[in-house]
Amino acid sequence: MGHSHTVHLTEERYSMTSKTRNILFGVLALGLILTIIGIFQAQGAAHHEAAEHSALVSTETGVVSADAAHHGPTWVSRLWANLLLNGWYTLIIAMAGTFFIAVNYAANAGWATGLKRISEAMGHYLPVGLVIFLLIVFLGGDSLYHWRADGIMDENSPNFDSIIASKGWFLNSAFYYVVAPLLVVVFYLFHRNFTNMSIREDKEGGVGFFKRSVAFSGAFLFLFAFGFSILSWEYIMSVDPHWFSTIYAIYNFAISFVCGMTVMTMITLFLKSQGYLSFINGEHIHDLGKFMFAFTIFWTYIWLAQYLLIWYADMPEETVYYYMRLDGNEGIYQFQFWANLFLCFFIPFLALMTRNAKRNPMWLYLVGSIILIGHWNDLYLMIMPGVMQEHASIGLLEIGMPIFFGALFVFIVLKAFEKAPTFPLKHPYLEESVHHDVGP
Amino acid sequence: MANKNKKYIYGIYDDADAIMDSVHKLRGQGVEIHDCYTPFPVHGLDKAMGIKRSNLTIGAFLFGALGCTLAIVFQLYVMAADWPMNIGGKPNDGYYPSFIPVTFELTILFTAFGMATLFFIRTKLIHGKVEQLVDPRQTDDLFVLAIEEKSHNFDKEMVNRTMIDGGALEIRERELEK
Repeated sequence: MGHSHTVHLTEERYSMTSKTRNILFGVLALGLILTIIGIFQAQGAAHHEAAEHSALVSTETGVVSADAAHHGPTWVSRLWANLLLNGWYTLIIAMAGTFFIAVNYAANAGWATGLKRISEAMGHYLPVGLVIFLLIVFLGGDSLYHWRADGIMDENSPNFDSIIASKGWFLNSAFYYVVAPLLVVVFYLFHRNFTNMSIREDKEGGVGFFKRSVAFSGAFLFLFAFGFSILSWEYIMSVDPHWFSTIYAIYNFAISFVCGMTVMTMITLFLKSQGYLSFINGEHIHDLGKFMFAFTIFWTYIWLAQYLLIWYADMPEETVYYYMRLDGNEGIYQFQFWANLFLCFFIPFLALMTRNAKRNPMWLYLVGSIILIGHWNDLYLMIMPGVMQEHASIGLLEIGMPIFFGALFVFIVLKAFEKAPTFPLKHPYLEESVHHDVGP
Repeated sequence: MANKNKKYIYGIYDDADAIMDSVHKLRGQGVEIHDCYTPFPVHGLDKAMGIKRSNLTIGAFLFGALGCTLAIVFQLYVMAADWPMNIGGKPNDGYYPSFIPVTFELTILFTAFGMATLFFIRTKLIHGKVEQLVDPRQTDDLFVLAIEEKSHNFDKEMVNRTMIDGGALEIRERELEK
């Protein structure tokens, strides 16, 4: 071939500069300090509110009694709700890393091979994310989930709720403590398997690992579809235990993938600015931008599919979900509800439409940040009205915790990225990725 | 109409790499390439020829915006002004979620049909058009490189030599009706 300019690639390893590490630790500390101040602020606000209502809200013990719902949520619920929000957010972004590996193998796609180690590194957040998530599940469950209240499924209890009791076959401790966390463990085992095969491929070469990865990808995607659904129902949808939506799991998946792609784009741009992955060029960035754009539309489609059907059918047991986010709860969520559509759809949709926008790093950072903030707000609207009702507010706690989690996520991902070469040198599709060209 | 005809010089190749080579060399000498006809898409040829990016996408956006606007106006006119209908007791005195699917579909319909029509108009691919093949084999296994004689920096001698050196099987000249 006269014109196939051969690129000679050699193994390349990332090492975090002390500057990056210091910045990350600085941001981490900032997030932590803001969170701690936010906790005190939340305590103060709760006391203030308690005094105002002159009701005996159980703040003094710091432990919420099982029938907390009767007294209204406290600052403890607020803390757990924030932990759940950010814990879930980072966990599903990490899952998007594994999903991206699997979907590229299954689709026989070669263009993203050069970016594979980034998605592998993202998946390595899974164990950390799971530990944090398990802490929330084991310690904060009673503050978060109304269906875990004492006697709520016991016919003889004054707390009995027949609607929740009828869901007892799914909303129970077996699923809550064992099945759902095990699913994350299974996802991580798949992830380990993918990465181990990839590392061995670097040493041994050949197409055997590729073929095995394709087979594992099929199994993973099948399991992921069910597992992710169960996780989103068990931990997020059940904060509103009376309500259900059949599209809820795919709604969460849309968030997972669009944010996963956004984070991946940002990490890729960061690594390129540090001088790594020199063969990743505008073509790859363009395709990542397309994923951000396309799954923004996908998210909107799913969001509207949920909203429109509930609006149209107008059944009280369904509309209550939107009532509580619009006119209900003293209307405190109304602004965020409409702002959400702008942050997650209108702004990214219009801002990422042109080709130049998808190839401009600074623009991608900017729009990507809007997408990430937007979907944080999206999850806020899923969790807070169920846990906090009309007592939710955005204080330093809500601002500091995502900063903390974000810095933690990036630190762990970059640390994981250090452990392997920056791209899979002997992957059979690496050459295709290097010569990737999306046309004019 | 003879004065409107344009003279072209054609190099006929049997190898994709050879035509790429010639394109690179001719462009390097400042010659404008009129077009290349290939039996299959040749990777990177469009870039080598220096083809500018199509403005079709802007047309697509405008058609989409038109479809979106028309859908909103039409639905508001029908449902709110001209003939309000009670469908399942849903409100119709303004823009409501029930209008979104129609808006969405018409936006896509206008984008798709508008863009396809625009594409056919811009490329003059009109039904009944007679094909102007340089060589019938260009649809089978040969590659044709066309250069307009009046183009910038054109030097017949140099172009012929570059094409022959680059592996062209034959060189032809032809006038085409514009």
